[in-house]
Amino acid sequence: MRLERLTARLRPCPAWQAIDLGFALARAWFPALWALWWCTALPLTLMVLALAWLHSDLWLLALWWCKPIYEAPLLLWASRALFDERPRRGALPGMLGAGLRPRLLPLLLWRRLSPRRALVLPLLLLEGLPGRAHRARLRTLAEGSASGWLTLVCYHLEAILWGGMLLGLYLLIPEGLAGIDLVAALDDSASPAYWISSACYLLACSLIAPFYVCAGFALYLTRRTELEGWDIELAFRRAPPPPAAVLPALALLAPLLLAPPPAEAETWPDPEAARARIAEVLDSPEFGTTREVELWLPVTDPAQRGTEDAEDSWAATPPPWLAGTIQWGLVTLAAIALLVLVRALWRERAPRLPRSTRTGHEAASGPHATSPLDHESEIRRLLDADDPGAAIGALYRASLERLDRLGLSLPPGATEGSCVQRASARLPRRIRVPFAAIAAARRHAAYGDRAPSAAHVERLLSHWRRWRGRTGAH
Amino acid sequence: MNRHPREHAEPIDTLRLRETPEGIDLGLRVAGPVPRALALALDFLIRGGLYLLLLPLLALADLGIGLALLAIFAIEWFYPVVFEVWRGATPGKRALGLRVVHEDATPVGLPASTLRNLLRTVDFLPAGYALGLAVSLADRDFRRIGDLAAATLVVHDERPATRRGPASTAGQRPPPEFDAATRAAILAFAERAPALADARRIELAEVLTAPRGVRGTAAPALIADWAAWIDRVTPDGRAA
Amino acid sequence: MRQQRFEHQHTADWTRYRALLEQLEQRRRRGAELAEFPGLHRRLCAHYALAQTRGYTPGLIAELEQLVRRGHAQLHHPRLRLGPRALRLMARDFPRALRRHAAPLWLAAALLFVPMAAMALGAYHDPGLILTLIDAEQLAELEALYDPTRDHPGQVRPADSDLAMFSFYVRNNVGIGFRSFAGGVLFGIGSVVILVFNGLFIGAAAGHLSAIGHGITFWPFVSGHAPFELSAIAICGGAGLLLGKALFAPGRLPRLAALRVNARDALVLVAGAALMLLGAALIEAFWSAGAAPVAVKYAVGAAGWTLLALYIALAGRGDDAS
Repeated sequence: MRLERLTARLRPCPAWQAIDLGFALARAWFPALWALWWCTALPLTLMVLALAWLHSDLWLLALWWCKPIYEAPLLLWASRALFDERPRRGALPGMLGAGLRPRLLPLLLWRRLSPRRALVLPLLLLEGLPGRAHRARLRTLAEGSASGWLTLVCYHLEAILWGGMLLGLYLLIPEGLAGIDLVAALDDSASPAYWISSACYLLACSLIAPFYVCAGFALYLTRRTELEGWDIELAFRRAPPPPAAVLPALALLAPLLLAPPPAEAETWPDPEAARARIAEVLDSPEFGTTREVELWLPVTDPAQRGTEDAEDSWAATPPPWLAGTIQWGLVTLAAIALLVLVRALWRERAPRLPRSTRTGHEAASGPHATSPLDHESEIRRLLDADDPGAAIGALYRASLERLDRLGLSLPPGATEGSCVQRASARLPRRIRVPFAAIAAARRHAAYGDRAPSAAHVERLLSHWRRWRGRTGAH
Repeated sequence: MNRHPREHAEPIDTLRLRETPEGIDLGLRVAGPVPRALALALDFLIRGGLYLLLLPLLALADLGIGLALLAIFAIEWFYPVVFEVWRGATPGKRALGLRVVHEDATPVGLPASTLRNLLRTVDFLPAGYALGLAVSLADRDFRRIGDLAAATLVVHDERPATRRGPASTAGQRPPPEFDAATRAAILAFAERAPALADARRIELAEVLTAPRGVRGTAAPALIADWAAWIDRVTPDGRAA
Repeated sequence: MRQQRFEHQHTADWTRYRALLEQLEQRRRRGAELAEFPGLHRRLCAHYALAQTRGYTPGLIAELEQLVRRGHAQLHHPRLRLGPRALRLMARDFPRALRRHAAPLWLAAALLFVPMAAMALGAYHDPGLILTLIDAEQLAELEALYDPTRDHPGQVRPADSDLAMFSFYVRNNVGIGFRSFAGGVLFGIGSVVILVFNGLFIGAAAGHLSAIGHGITFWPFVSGHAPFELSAIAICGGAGLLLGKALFAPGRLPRLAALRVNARDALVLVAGAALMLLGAALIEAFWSAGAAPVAVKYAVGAAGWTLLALYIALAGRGDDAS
């Protein structure tokens, strides 16, 4: 067994989570498993059909009873896929016959109705212990595994899918056509409706089977992980080797990796070794000391019950004013709610000012909407105050305002980058180049925390003055 | 041997990691149809019990019928919403250790809970949640239609970790190159060693200790010593 | 940093955090004390991440993870505040959503009202037509309900049964509304079916009752609540169509993402419509069956339609900031 190649993450966990892991496995492998199910089930279906000709109820019962025959190949396939090997095409016939092995006979006879079938299957198929040891092993593995619930729920899931399909067919066929007689589908085994219903049931079985088998397998794996510490082994194997002795360690690890530990490796193919291992496990006195019991306790809701009791205590005849009170209470409540709503609606009413006056570029309008000369003096003041970062900010705002006047609409909150982009798409080169330089300097100052030198701002300012002068003449 | 095409793919798991705004990963274990179906059945019974509690109202003639109808309306549409928003899960889900959360691992709120429970009517179609079952079997996170539309997940509740057994022995310092995962495995080994068979315990321990030259019954003892050392609060070598 | 020092340094934070958590979990919150919780939570998250990367003991990591998990649940615990939420919904979000998704809503209205009108005309001229929808027994019940020769035409009942009728209307109508919304997730089909069927049924009943001379009790009875009930059903169906639209025409988004985006608005529509249905049930139970003169009832009906139109056109046009 090569735990490194595991395609599922195994860890000790509550049974429900193990079942969910099984469902996840089945979902990942669904197409292959489903096809495999039909590979065994279809020949059998036809064979039984020939035997039980015209008795659809017997046909369905026989097929239902033979479920373990189709489930066994699924389990074998899953046990290979878990270790990341997909069986070759040549191995398929052998796998398909897995369900007919003599040791699976109990599953087809007295164990067929066992609620633990999902868990028994991997035990019989992969371990194949003799009677007494098998029972002891099953007891160990089934402890707290919820396998009974799994069988019960999966049985109902099948029924739900079957009912859903049948009802869906019934509802979807228009009335004029020969619809499905639902009563006959459940009742009259000679009617065509019953055959359709049986086929639906078979389909539902095929859809649920991969999930059921994989969930049982996951329960089995999780229990073994818990009992044998697979997850710990995996973590230990992944542990870093001792630094001084990396090479010897590798040499030591290599046989472990390449030739798996004997007792574990031959678990599936060699029942002898497994039997010895199991006996060993079972002999251990500390075995199975931890026990997790899940109880279902009735949920009581005192609050709810309290109000009900209060109402009960009203004798059988309600006072005549009660209904009226409730009615008027309701109407008053509604009236109050309406009033509150009207008040809220009034507050939410549309503003009186036309909206267009309130939009526009915030950086360009508002407190910075000043004349160009003001801008320049402001920038100079900031430069004199030895704050080139603020100066470049002011210059940037001033140039934005200029762009706005040139008819370049800039959305509120536009970034420097998008302003430059818009400018370069619409404006001539002599404007957009200096603007891009200003924007770049501003970006560095604002986000990069690299204020430009005063000389650089001076240069940009003189460019801007020229550009402003020219555009201003328009 | 045919290799799996996704040889280096992530192992199949029901754990989903969600990064919180604070930059840490929270693990969510999505819950599949079996526990959810059982929770639903349990909720169904509880709802039936609530309806039974309404029966005495019928003694109040028309008024009682009116109140009972209102209560039935509330129960049939808002029973799950009330419990999910208030406690994070309906009583049935709580009994099975399930919880409803947004996909980003935050507790479910009123809009999402309302949406997922209104869409229950569609999941129920054509009978007994057949459509919801089919959709949740096909979905990687076992979400039914309501969950898909409302961006919610049904997850297993994380149980509080019970750790830190008594460290009786002084222990021995483990090799420094061991990473966090290995240390965790060492502690897990110490915790679960009593449940393991003797031979298996030694075999398991040797995986770690053999490269360091320790074999046989000394191996589990060495790991137990390491575990005792790790388990104490002071990993820096000073006495606790 | 050594773990011992790390623990020593932060243990005060952790104790404080744990105490706050317990308060929060028991819903004993006091605003001033809890103001520090978010900052504390961020620090705890940082500690957890540090403990992980520095490889501190698994016990400590598990403990911190548990704390952080509980804190995350509390920090993101949604606040309910039903009252303000409902008010905001009706005063702003609902009318805005109505205007934003005019197309599916008009479609839903057409799906409800066109079959209704057609069926009403048909049933008026051919009294047998209604039997294609309901059987004779139900028809007899329906006719008896609006029989003008009854002792109390217009169905004056004791207040007792008014309340029962209110509950019945709430359960029935809101149920129909919710179903016609939910059905939309099946590519809109469910909504279309429920809208058309309800339209046909209501139309048939109206046409048939008018034809056999029961119109003088039927029309005054329905006029009061019809504006709110019918339009709310149409809105629910329209919300369903909005879901269906996300699946048919998701635009630039993947279908699932489109569904989630539309579901958010659709939920606003359904919640608003459910409140409208609640109001309609109040009117239906406590006003429609009352003994007010016919002219007053018609006037109330007309006022209802006018108010509704004004509400849809004008409500919630205020500024976002307000």
